[in-house]
Amino acid sequence: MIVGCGGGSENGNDQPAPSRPVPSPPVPGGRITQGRPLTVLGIDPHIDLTGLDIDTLLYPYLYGWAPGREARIMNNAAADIEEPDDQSLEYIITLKPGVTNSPWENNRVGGAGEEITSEDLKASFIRRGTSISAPDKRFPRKIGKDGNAMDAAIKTPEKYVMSFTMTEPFVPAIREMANPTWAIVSKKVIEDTLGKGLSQVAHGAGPFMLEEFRGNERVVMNKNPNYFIPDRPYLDGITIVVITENSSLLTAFKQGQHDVAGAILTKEDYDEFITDDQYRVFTAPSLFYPCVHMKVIREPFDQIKVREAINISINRDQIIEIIQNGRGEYNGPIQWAQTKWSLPQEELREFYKYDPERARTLLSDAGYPNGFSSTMKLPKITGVSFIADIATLLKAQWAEVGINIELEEVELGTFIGSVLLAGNFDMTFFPNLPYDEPDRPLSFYHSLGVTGAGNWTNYTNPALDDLINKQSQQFDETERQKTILEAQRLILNEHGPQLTITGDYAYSARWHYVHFPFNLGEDPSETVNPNGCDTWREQTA
Amino acid sequence: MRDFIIRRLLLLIPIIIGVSFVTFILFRFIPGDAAVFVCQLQCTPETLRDIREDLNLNDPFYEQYGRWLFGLPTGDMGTSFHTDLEVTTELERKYPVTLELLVLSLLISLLLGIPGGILSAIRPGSIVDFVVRLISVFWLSIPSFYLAILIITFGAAWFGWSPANFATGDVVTFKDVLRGQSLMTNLETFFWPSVVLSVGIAAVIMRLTRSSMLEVMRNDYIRTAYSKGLRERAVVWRHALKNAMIPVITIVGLQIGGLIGGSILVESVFALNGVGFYLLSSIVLRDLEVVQSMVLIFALTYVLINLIVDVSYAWLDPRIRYG
Repeated sequence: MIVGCGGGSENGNDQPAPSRPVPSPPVPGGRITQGRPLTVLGIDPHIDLTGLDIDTLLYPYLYGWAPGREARIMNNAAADIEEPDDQSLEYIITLKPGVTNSPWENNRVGGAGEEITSEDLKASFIRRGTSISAPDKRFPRKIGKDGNAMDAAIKTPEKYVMSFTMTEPFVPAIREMANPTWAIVSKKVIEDTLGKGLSQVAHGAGPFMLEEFRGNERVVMNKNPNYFIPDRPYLDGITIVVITENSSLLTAFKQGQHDVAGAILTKEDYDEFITDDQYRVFTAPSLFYPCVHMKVIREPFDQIKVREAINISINRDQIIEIIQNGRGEYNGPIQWAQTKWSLPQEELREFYKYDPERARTLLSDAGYPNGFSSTMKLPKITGVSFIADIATLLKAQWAEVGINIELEEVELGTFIGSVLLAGNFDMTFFPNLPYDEPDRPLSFYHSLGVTGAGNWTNYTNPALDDLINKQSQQFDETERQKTILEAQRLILNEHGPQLTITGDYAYSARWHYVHFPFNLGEDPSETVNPNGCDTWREQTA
Repeated sequence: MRDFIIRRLLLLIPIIIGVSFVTFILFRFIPGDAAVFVCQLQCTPETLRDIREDLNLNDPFYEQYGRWLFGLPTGDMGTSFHTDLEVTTELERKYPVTLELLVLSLLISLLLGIPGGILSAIRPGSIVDFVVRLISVFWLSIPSFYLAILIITFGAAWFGWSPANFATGDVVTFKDVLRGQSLMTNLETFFWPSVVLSVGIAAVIMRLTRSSMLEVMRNDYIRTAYSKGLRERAVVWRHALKNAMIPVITIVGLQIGGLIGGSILVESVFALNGVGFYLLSSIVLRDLEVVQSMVLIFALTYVLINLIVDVSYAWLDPRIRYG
């Protein structure tokens, strides 16, 4: 959970509002403590994915993003963004003066207390775009295919002005630049923290500065006295306590030890909290989407009939009933929660209709009258049980049509290194990250994948590649929508290489005295400040 | 006795080399790669190669192992691949947590197990014996992980209790108490985790004490003691207990391994951030020098506690001589 961000209406979309009045105006001061179930492996915003929620508190960004309106919120370091041509190939970014790094005592790292300039922004763009382990490169590769090309393409004509021109249009560019991985880091910090870089330390100009980082224990942040927005943040500090056992985490919240719940909440927890006006609880469709991934160049997954049999022998309604407490929807290649980009529910429900009889026939036609056996690998992540829960249910469902799947739970490190990156799997199962833009989920099906180096499943389909490329250049939303729906229908008929399961709801909870500017599932307003700035707590006497 | 202790302490040297070498070799055989965790999800073969180079993982194994081993006498246990923090620095913070957990658990298991076993043995077949045996079966059959979750869930629901360290992630150890922090906070943090860890061993001690006491109580010298007119308490405490304790103490020594293993789970549920949890997360991250050092620390703890156990034999039975 990200402090200050979220969605859904207060106390849920379908529940009465709490009786406790909300005091105003906001009171500055105080700290909040928030739980967290997952260890933070690192907080380098350009590289680490497990600490992105923390990065947004420590570093400045160009601007914020309202996913519902798909619009930028000019609330951060950028004063102005110009797109002079109608294809948005060129961007001219003007920074606000006075965006200043926090003070730090490490003399080996320069830039403490210094102002962020266009040179810092350029260095950040190049680092984010070319870092070999950067999570996505579709956008930076449009600026330059490597560091030298990016260096040549990005201009800094003035102290606060940076510009670049992309080699071809890329509609998601404007969304990408507000992504938590596009943090602005001082050039001196980048140069002085080579090697492991910023994985375990932070030197930023965000609303908070890092006091202590112990990724499997706690993260302590204090207010940045140099922060460029006057009178913000309201809070003096935020402490994030890592507890990997979910029930312990839930207890810490209920006992008032944590102000913001970090546990992975279920509908049952939500139903419990909603009745108590001590809590503020929220729910919204989850953008995480679990997928079965198949290596389509290997037998028997190279046959569409086999993939279809696997697909239609999944009883998605049962998954919603058993795993998601009866609450959820069908996902297409793009999650259902991305409403206007996803396929209609009726179409998905008809297409994915559970049909074990037909599955048996398809298997027989494909040359597997008695079914087949295979292994599905899944990551074992401490504190996260739903991956194994869904996989176990899938195994049982497939067994009914003669597909005997052995589940192999693999430690996360081994899973990434020896399974996913090595392409060492026939089938694998894990949830994709919560993307709120359609390009990223689609690019997993692109021959070049998200990094330009190919996809895990070895799936190639030139017709689909063309559609994915086309939508990324269509500025007319209606036209783009048509292309995206067409691409998804093509993917559906391929029954792979990813089979999306069902979409769940996300839940969040906090104590009544903690106030966020917007909640889980809600769109932030035009006037909202960067993450963490507008969060405040009522003070006790 | 002194020679025996010196010999046992000298034996620590081959133990250190043996345990660390086996850990080092086994770690190379299990799948997974520390470099992958450093570069994370989208890393390429080139990045992996560079990171391995940076972490000296491409060096011959004997060089890697030798570097770590020869650092030990100077107190250098290496550096975490992942956090860049020195292992000894982390150990200074985390070992007091695990040590206190182990010591308290051991004390509680002895306090629960020995009196329970004695009570059961001096009244065999009675209702007390039945209850003690029932409790011991219950304690043996309940997994410590499950018991820990029950204590946390129902402790909060019924008594409004939860471990103090949940609020900050900071654990107040006995070392901190000596520096002026609250003993109550310390006990509040460690009491229940120690109880969870101790019940399984307490049950074993209870059952073994019972059978050992029953055996001893049938001996002629006990009958003689009774016939001399000694009171039951004197017979049990002065004549029977010491003799019955030798097999019990042996088992206590062997159970230390179970305690250490259990501490990993208990630390995780109670968020104690001790050596056990550190070891577990380092195994997942393939953080070789941390794993090697933590395994070594556990091995040394095991050996030293067993040395104390061996020395205690001589106190229990003066006939035992260490030559």
